[in-house]
Amino acid sequence: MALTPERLTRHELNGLPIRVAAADNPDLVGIAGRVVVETMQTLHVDCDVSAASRLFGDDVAERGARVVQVPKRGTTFEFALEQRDGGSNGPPRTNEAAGNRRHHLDESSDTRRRRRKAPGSASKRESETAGNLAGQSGSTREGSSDDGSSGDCEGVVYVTVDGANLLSRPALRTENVGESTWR
Amino acid sequence: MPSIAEERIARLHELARDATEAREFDRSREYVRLARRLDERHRCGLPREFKRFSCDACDVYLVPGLNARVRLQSGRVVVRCDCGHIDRFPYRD
Ligand SMILES: [Zn+2]
Repeated sequence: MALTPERLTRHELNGLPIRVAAADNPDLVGIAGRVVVETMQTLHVDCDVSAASRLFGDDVAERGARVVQVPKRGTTFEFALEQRDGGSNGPPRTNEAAGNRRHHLDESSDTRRRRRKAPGSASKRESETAGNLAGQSGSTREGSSDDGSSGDCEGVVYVTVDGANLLSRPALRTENVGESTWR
Repeated sequence: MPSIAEERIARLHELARDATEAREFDRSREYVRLARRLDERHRCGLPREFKRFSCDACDVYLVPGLNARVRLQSGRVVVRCDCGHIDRFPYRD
């Protein structure tokens, strides 16, 4: 169950490199750094530009060393996932293999996102809640899509996520799917 | 195959330790609390190292020599957090 693009919205966001790709508030676009705190409706981004620009290129706004609180609703985030060696990934990949993998992941995550219900909804009320949440976030872009085109770094996958898909208490985001172990 | 919750706990473990080492104690507390909440929800347990090196009273992640004092007595390890809370763990020779 490694951290893959499909599982990103259910996985831990703290510590991940992040960039604000689009936002209702134009001042937030271009914020890049590391997620340090997650709340139900916001992410706190520690703007360490030196580390962020390595992953996200020059399209990064200069903010100095500070922590910015970004609302999830109405914002599109871009996460950089560094594919680590070991585990189920097996031996280190060549450039070509990494490219193939990225392509494959993009396809699968696209299909998966489409049938995923909105995070934060309990498993019993899937369809109607998903509809409601989608209606709430009407101003944001439809769904979410992945792109692997923006970076050249080897073994880095860039995942674009609509912030409305992350609206949930941090501890509950993981348990949207399947039977709860809680009785 | 660890579940997502277990992976999140492992990540939070690293983050909490790094936060304590960077003297960001309140941030470390948030990571520890989130990991404990995940354990409660998923009933997957916390690693022993996580349990022993987080304070039961103030939730901060403990790094010996930085914000924790670790001493050996006969038959037990005594871990004292900077907040004053003391944990004792038995050991066998
Ligand atoms: Zn304490």
